[in-house]
Amino acid sequence: MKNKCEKYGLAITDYVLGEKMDVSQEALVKHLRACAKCREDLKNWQATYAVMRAREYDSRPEAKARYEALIKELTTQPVPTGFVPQGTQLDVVQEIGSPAGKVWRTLASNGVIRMEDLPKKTGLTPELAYGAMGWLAHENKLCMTRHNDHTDLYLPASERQNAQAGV
Amino acid sequence: MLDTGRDNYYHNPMPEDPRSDEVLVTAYSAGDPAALEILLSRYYTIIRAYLFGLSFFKDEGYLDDVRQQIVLTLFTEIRSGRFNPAGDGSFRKWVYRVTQLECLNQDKKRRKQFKPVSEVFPEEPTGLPSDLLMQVSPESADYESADRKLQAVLKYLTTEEQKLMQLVSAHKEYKEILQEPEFAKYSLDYLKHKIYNIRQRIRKGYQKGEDKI
Repeated sequence: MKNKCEKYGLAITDYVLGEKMDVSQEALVKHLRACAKCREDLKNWQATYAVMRAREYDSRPEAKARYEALIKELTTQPVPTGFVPQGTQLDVVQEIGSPAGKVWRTLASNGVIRMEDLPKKTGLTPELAYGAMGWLAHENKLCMTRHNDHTDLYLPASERQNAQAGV
Repeated sequence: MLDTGRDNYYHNPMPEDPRSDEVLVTAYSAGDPAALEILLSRYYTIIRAYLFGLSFFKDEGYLDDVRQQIVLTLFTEIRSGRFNPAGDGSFRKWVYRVTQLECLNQDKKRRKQFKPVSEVFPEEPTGLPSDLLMQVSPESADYESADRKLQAVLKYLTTEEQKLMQLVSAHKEYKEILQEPEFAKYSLDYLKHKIYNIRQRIRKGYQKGEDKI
């Protein structure tokens, strides 16, 4: 099959570039129907050719001038303020996602934790610990049971199995 | 020593920035216009490549107009807070979604105008059967990975080879390529052979990994 694929590999690039192929179109179609690897190859070549054409087009002086004019027009417009406060912008995934991993691992090793003990057990600040809790809850990776005087946190069965399996 | 003058031939407007797209959106919203420039430069060429794959119409002016429209839509929506970096998932997916919708809308508008078939499908190769077309749909192709691989491969091509590939990407006929002063010394057969070899090297490089050509 390998030699056959090599033969059609060239036909695939010819096809994408719109050039004359060494094999008939029927033969190429037949091979593509049978070979998933060559179908993937065709898709990749289509994407590559599209990127090559786009980069070539954008290298032309008139396209560069149009790009620069567009960027200038957009970046000189005043940024609307008010919906995001000034200050250092944080990466939300990094800020909340990483503590969420820590909370998950703590729950996996402790089994059940009282909600008020979460910051202490994880070593996180209360803001981060409870933010991380919200993250896990949103991903269905957290269960809560309310008692009269406290609330317990624990992982659902599927997550406990993952933890045991070391996933 | 290989000549790596690729910036002469392929557009690459901005240096890499370690910040994620979502952080750049937030930075722009907080008053940093340079963040918008970095963000748009990341997607500008990729949007065109994606459009080339998606659109029924392949002519350059049309693709450029649609891309311009897409960039303006992205700009307006970012400014109005329609994309929420904290809650809307990845910016990249959002860009592709906006591109798809805009492409569909613009193609629909254009199809309403009467155009001769030769103008509507100027470069379309003889089509594949529809069942195969579904399986190799350009919507699901990975344009960013193709771009990274292309950039990696270009480093290993000489300036002359890059120029040749650039002319091939611009859809130039071999006879037109021979009219370029630096290639006038070649025969048609030699040129075909050379381009074939470059394509093979690119293919092999892709298959082995981005850094082994």
